[in-house]
Amino acid sequence: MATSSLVTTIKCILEAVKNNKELLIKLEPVIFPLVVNTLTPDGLENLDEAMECMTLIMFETNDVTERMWSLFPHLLKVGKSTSIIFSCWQQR
Amino acid sequence: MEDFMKNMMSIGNLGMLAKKVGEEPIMTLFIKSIIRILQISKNEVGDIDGYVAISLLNTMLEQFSEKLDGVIILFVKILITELSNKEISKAFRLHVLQMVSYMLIYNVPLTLKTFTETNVMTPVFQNFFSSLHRYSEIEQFRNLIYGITCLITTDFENLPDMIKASMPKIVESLIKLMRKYTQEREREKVDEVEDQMTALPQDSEQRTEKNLILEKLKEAAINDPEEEEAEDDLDFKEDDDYLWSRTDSFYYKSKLEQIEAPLYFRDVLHSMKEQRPESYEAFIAVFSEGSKTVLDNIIQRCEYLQAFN
Repeated sequence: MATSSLVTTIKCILEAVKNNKELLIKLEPVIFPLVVNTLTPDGLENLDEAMECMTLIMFETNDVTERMWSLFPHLLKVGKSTSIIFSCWQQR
Repeated sequence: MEDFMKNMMSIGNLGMLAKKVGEEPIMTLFIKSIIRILQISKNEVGDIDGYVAISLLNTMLEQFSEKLDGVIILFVKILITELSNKEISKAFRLHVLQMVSYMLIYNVPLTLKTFTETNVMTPVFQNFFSSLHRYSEIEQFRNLIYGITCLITTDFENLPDMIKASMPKIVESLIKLMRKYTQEREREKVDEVEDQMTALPQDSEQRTEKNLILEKLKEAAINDPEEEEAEDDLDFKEDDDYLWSRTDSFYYKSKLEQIEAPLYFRDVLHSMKEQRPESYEAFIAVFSEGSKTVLDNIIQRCEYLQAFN
């Protein structure tokens, strides 16, 4: 529950500063560990919202950083090997 | 999640094509993941996973221009597998059929060639064209207008016989789609302008301008009454327990949104007239006088809408 509120708060902050591209670039490495955590069984319930945060950064900065790319194969592997990721989509 | 993947394709295009995970190209891994999603989700009617998987395939077709020629057969196989599944809901079937349109936008000759080689041309197009009246969202209208425009204008003289034979009906359906698209876009614009007006003072100049815009949009809607819906002529599974609607996709912009879809059709016709006048004359002969009048009206309204973009 606490993590969920944290991710929601981060999303609100990102939305509030979305016009400040430089700040978004600086925030990406800060929130990245949290996003990685959502790929583990413990954090999976917040994966969707964490992805929304990364989507916002990617869309507003119009760039996919190397850090962001490192996330992508993990997402695919989770999707390919188990159905766990799909249950996350279903929660929307 | 869906928008994240779509933006990886849209903004990180080169990475998707060049990067590898171990020995495996990231794009191959991506397609395999999507096939896996469809395998897992296919037995559950109305399951959202299948919708997202098909949306991602469509985004690939939209974003990876000329880069999917080698794997287009996979898209056809997925299309046929899903359409052959009697358990899927009618909403999902409509969603899958949209892939036909994206394949046409990607490459008409290659799509037709692959359909012919796999012997699925007739069932796919029969399903596709007989379902057009069932769509109801702007994104769907937009995609279908683009797809059908590509199909009927790319190589008009050499279209498959079954398409040629149905051309007047196809044109009629295309105009209906453009009309519905325009009506929905006008409604969307009216809502947007009304929202903006609530924040403006009563006697401001901006408010007067917005009022003029509203009047013009509403007048267009009044002069264009709704048409009667066509009969449902397909044998769909009726127990559609979950109707999937897209998220706002606020953080993903489709390439197809750059221009109002009917204006894309107008531009294609213009370039056809200049570059292939004989094809243009043959094509335009399919239009009845009534259709031309409706089309002119739609184009005018879309030009007005495009001015806001």
